[in-house]
Amino acid sequence: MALTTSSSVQEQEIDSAVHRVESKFAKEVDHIRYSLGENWVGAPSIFFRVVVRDEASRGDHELYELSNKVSISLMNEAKTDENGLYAYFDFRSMSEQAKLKDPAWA
Amino acid sequence: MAFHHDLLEVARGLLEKEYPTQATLHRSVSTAYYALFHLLIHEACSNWARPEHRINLARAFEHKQMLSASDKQKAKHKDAAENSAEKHLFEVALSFVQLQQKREFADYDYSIELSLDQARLAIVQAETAFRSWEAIRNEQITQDYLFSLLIKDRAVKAPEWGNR
Repeated sequence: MALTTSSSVQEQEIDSAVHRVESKFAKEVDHIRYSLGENWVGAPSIFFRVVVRDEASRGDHELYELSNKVSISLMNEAKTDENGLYAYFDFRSMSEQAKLKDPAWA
Repeated sequence: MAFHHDLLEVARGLLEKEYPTQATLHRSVSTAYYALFHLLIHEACSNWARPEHRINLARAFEHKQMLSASDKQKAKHKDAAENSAEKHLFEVALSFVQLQQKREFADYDYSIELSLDQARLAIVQAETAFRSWEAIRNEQITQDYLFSLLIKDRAVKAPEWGNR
């Protein structure tokens, strides 16, 4: 599907937002990837994939707290609600990504 | 123990196997969603005065309407103060939205290879939502949210008076 000017602009804005969040959480987050698509009801959605450093993902509580902070930050920086996007977030540690070698998360 | 609590235990138990497989990880994520789904339905139906009608009433809830209602609350309260009722409601609504989509992938997309971290996080999201719910279950905003899970918001439209 060809990108329209507006969607291209939107992706540039999202890229910048992602970089800001990566910088803000540089101690805990290694990198963030995303893709645009549709959720299960066919509504426009953005799917974030966050790779976190192993030290930040050891305890369940720590991982949950970090996931909440990063998710809120991504929603605010990328203005997902204002852009009419459902935002979804997935988190995995660097060591698990090293095992799974999923290119979508690389 | 109530059905939704049992589901949450099942979801956690699946992860405690020595060597979780993709099947156990997928089932665990899916079950975490259903634990929260059934908690909310149980709570909403408990408001119905006649117990004999509650089982049928529970069948009236639709995943799509629950998504729409939860997403609204998530957007509205995402910057609420820590430990406020609004923040707890945000945690419940955010968890519901996230777990619902994870369930879709877990149940129907076998190409997705889940990591243990992803499954762990799904369980913790459901468990935290349960705790947040307990903290705010009698608040007005919580009860309004429960109502919105079943009933669409129908804004009152002003009558359109034609030009004469």
